[in-house]
Amino acid sequence: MRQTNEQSAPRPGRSPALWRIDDGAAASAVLRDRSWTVIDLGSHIARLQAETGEDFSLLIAIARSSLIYQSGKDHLRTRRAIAKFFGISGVEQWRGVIEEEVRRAMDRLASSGAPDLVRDFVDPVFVACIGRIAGLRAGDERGVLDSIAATRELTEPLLPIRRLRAAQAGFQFLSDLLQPAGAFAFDDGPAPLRDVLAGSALPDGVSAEALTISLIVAAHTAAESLGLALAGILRRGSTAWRAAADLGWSDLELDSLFREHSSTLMLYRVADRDAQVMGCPVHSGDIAAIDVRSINAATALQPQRQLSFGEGAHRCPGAELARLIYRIAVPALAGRFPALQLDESGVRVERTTMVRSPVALPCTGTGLRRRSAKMWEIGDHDLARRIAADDTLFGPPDMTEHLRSLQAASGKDLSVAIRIARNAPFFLSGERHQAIRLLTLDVLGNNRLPAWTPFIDETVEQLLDALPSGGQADLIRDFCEPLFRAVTQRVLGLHPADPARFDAIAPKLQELLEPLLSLRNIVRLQGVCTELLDLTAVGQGQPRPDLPPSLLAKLIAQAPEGFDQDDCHALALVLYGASFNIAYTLGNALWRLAGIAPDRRVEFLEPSNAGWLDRDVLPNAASPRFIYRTARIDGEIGGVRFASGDTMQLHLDQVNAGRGAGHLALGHGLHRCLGASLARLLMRRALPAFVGRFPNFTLTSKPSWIPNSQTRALGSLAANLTTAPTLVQLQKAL
Amino acid sequence: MSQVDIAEVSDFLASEISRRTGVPQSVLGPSTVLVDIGLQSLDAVMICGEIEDKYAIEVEPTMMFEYRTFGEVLQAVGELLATV
Repeated sequence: MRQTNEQSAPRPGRSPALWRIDDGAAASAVLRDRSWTVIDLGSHIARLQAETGEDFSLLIAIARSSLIYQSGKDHLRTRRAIAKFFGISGVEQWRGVIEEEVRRAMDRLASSGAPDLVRDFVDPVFVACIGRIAGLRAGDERGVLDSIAATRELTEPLLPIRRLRAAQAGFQFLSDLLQPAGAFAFDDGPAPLRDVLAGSALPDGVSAEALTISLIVAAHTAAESLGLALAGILRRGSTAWRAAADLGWSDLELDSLFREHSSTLMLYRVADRDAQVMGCPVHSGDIAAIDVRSINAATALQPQRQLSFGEGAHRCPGAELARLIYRIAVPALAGRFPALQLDESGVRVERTTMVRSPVALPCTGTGLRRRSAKMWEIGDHDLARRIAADDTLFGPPDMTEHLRSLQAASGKDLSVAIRIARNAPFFLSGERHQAIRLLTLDVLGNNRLPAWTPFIDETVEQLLDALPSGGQADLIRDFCEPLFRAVTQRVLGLHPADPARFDAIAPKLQELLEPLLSLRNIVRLQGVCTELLDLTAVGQGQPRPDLPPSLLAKLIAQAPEGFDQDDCHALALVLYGASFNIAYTLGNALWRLAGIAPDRRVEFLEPSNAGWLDRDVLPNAASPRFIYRTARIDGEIGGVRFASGDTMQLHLDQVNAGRGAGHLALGHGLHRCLGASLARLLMRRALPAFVGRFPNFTLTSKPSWIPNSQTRALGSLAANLTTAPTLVQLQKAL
Repeated sequence: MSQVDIAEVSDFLASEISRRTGVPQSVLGPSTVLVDIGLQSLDAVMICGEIEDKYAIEVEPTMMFEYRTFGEVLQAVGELLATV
């Protein structure tokens, strides 16, 4: 505790001394000592009103009714009147309301073109919740926020007349929004504060309306602190953010959050008699400025000793409500938007003497953003799932029609490209898509694939045998790619006449998925497809009698109307192009496995670790970056209007972040990946077999990524296939 | 690239957009929003193909929607030409 204005002249005529307190014990002593009281704002405003002739009647009523400016018995009686409402069981009644408003605000954040945690989440949650809890008419969010901004300045020292005028107008606005007592009497929900206070015994001169409004304004501190806390968690990194979605997070973290991210900076008290604090003599009229931030910072090891809610008689009555809002809002937000990140370049926090307040917390990773005049980016899991599942509003891009129009407009022969498109399930809808789906699943369906398991195991073992035990290998070149080729070519029935040439150009098939290809690139890719079809002419290769019929053989044998042999061939080639994702995903999964301690790898992949594929591998390692859907008609989703023909680009890294079951790595709905079961079977057989053979493999250099806008894939993954046991393994063996 | 060339590119781009959308060239200005005058994906691919053929540069059709207005697309094409 130190005196900052060096004023120590004896009274009378002595100016009050200002004591700056940055020590927790001294602050506690001041806040608990009845020699110190709050500033008498009412008398100050009344004098100003008399001097200026201004109407500050509402400010005087607020000063009389607000807990911030009350003291003594009146303060005690007012606190008693609200104690039950703001107690733990009292605020718990509002849980449903808070959960509902948090959900609503998350939808708003998800649909915002330029999402901002203050404008699109914290403020809407606050206004909606406090409106319902206190008893305000809903509908003017901006008006409420502006009024609160004007009125809460009343706590700042020495306000000029113009700001007092603005505060009076702000209180008037809120007063006009306050519902008459009893307006909610027929609602199912709990009675709002306004009604509870109307029936309470309040001290003389204390108005239920003014008290309600003063509590609404003061409660905005919780919204400001929530914004600061969200920014604080996000700045700790993605691990901390995702942990905030876990059950049990709130009880561990709440006190630390309040301590580190309190919006309150200073608390003031006035000595109403001569006294001593921590041995220092203070005189009546002296002012104590309690530095909340410094004191909070010094209580890192005892977060419960923080001052964010004050202490003593004037301790914040809304602490339990703030806790409940945090408990609901933070995990919900972190759960729904696991990829959320702050855009630091736009963050703005305003400060006054008393408080700091986040004004803008722009962020990314929320859900829906306009990328171009015809394209929307979707990163929100719920929205992405709705879009993927809604075959009425959205369908795959109609590439066949696009190419036909382009052929007519350009005069170029695009017949091969058109044949590819009209047999590519990811460009089709309706009956043709349905026919392809049924035919393909007759070979690639979950119930058909077990017949291929011995062949897959045999191929995996051959490749593992060929790897240099104890030596160096490129896991992409020596394991993932050859496994993918051997299995997928055989299952699909493609037998290239020149395998080296086929393998060299086949990866270009992935480019077919890029949106809005230029005519030049369409012509180039058509050349690639023509060569690949020539290289795999139907009838080549020796079928193995011990294996089930390939997809191509089955297609040709059972082709329905509208499918000739060239269509069947094109379909098999298209599916091969799509199947590259199996090789890429396998490579990504091995890369992620390399990051797990050797001793945990085997148990990680054990059958007893149910769900490892969907929980730990596919959401994080699947190679496709996007799913595309085209709007069939004008419509609305997540609060934004889109036009027929707009493209929805679902960003799988954001959509799947932190997901287990329910991920969209293999798509969803009618257009779920037709090779999903084959991909899953290969992962299930290959990953445990590889780790079983080389549990201690280590990477020897940084992996190199293939430059591909549509796919996240490794070009190489150099590894040492060491057979030496780890220290832990040696200890276990001993 | 000189100012004269930009004017020439502007004329060419405007005539192509006008031909594809049916909107008179005289109506097109720097702030014309291409989607608002009915520019479709097919148009974007065709116009970019014409630009590629005339100026021997590579232009991705997505550019026609990433830059919203005629003026922004013209500037982007100008910048591509300047790097040739």
